[in-house]
Amino acid sequence: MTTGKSIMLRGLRKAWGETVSLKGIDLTIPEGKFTTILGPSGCGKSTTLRIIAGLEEVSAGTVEIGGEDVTSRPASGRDIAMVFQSYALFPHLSVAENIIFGLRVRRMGRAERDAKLTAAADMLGLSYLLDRKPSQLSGGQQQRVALGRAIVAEKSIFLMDEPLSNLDAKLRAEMREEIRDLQKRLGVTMVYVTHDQVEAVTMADQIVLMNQGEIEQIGSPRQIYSRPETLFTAKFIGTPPMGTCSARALGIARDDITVGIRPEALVLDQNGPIRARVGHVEYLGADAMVECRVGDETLPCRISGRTELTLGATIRLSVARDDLHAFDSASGQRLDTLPPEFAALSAAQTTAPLGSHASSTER
Amino acid sequence: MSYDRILNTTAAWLLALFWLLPLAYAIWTAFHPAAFETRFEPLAPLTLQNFVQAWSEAPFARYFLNTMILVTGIVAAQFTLCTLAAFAFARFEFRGKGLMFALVLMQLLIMPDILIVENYRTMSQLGLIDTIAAIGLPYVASAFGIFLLRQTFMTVPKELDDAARVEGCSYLGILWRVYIPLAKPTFLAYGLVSVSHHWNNFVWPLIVTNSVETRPLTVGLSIFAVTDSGIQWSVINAATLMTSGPLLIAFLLFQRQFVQSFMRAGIK
Repeated sequence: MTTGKSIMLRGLRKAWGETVSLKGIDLTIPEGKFTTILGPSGCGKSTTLRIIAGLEEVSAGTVEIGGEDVTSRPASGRDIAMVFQSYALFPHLSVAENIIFGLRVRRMGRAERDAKLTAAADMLGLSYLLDRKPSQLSGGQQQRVALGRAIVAEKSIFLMDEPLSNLDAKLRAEMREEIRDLQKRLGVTMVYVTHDQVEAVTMADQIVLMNQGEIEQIGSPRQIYSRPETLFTAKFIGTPPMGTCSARALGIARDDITVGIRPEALVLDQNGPIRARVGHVEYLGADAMVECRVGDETLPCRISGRTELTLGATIRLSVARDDLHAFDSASGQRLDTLPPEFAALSAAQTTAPLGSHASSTER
Repeated sequence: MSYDRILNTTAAWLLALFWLLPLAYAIWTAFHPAAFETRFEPLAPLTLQNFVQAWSEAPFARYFLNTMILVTGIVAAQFTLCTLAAFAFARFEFRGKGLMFALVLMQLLIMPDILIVENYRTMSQLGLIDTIAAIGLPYVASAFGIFLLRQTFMTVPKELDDAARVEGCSYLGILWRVYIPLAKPTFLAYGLVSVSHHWNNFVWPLIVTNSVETRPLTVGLSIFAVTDSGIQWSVINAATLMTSGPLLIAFLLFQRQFVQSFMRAGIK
């Protein structure tokens, strides 16, 4: 049907009076790929999307779509379709009229319009609902109508602003697959804004993680999970997120380093170099989350649900060298090479870990 | 039924009866010969002669036409002007917006009757005295309409606006395809208020018109009522019923929509 176009943002800034919501965004979104913009609320992800859409003006910087500078072009001239968080269905129009709204605006002939409507309605399973009003539809059906409106527009880029946040958990999982599938089938470039990391990780080819108006990291879900570039990324991605503590708590004489270890990378090991006391244990069935107290700090550890630990007991833990992440405490940036002091932590790992988690470090 | 409830019901019935009394009297006299103007005999003969007489004694057909032109003209002009102004106030940022809106609101506080002399002077400068346009013009930029529509437009979710923009609507296109359809109840309510107000308006048309070709029904009726030597209530009331009839019937027909649209438009 359509082929995607790439999007390039250069030096994007946006300020509302005193408040700066975007502090210089440089981003390339490859064509035909699924990119999610992820971040906590207020990080500027929706603003970025609205700027790409042309619904918001930039304070500085440029937006290029398919190699053309579209910074001053209106939304309708940017070859984009958009799905909104509230779906933005027109309450006074039927499902059919909502889907062909844009085609009517563009004065497309009736025959062509009807053909597109039928095709989109079949694709989304909406054919029997065409005469209903949006208020007579369930949330999932409304979502489909919004997708239908985007599909018939036959644009190269789909922009989605938290489209699943109003659905219940089961429906959300279904729609995730459906949207991913749709993107593959149509071959469009998808830009998908969400604050839900599960959505980002399961759907995206590329994740753009944002925080406080800046990009923290760009990468595939795997890269972002296994090699977080900043402390923020480390603590944002993963459920539960990466545990962090000061280097000193692990017996390393460096005050400028924060250590991050994923809960599943920390394993019980009789000869392990890390000594810890067992804090709160949360039993989850297949596994259990243990709060391991090292010094005055805690590291979460995921162990097999069968292992029983008593509160206050002393345990020893080890971690593979590749699973150790070191960050500069002041800047939060990842240290590319582990300082020599860390050799002690992984060298002592002699015996095979109890309960292997090696396979789950990269999900 | 509680004491309170009984009191309320009685009061409501009394008020309704009180309000209905003049209308009932008008209907009685209009349908009976002049001899029964003050004699209320249940078996008095019915007649339509009063209507025929009234219709032939004054150019009511022309008055009807004038009022129709006046009312449709005013409502059409008000809808156009108020919609555009309200859209600007609701959705655009421009310099002096606050001040301008305050001025619009100020118009709501001023009794139109205070401005009669000034309006007359303006109309005379425009050379519009004794025209239908002169009756309507002072009411076209209705502050009430602008305010009401602005409030309604502001309740339209911004995302609908955005969605229409992404689909390629111009600003006027958005107004036409999104805002106006969603504000339909408000338009209906405002339209009905405006029609009934201008249908019944009397003082200003009386002052600014002085010929059969321009006079609306209200003025025509009053002239008919005084010029007739020896006041004949039966004929006058027949004429009154004729002139207010269309409005009464319209209200009875649209009663439900009328009340509902006011509830929905949030006006008390």
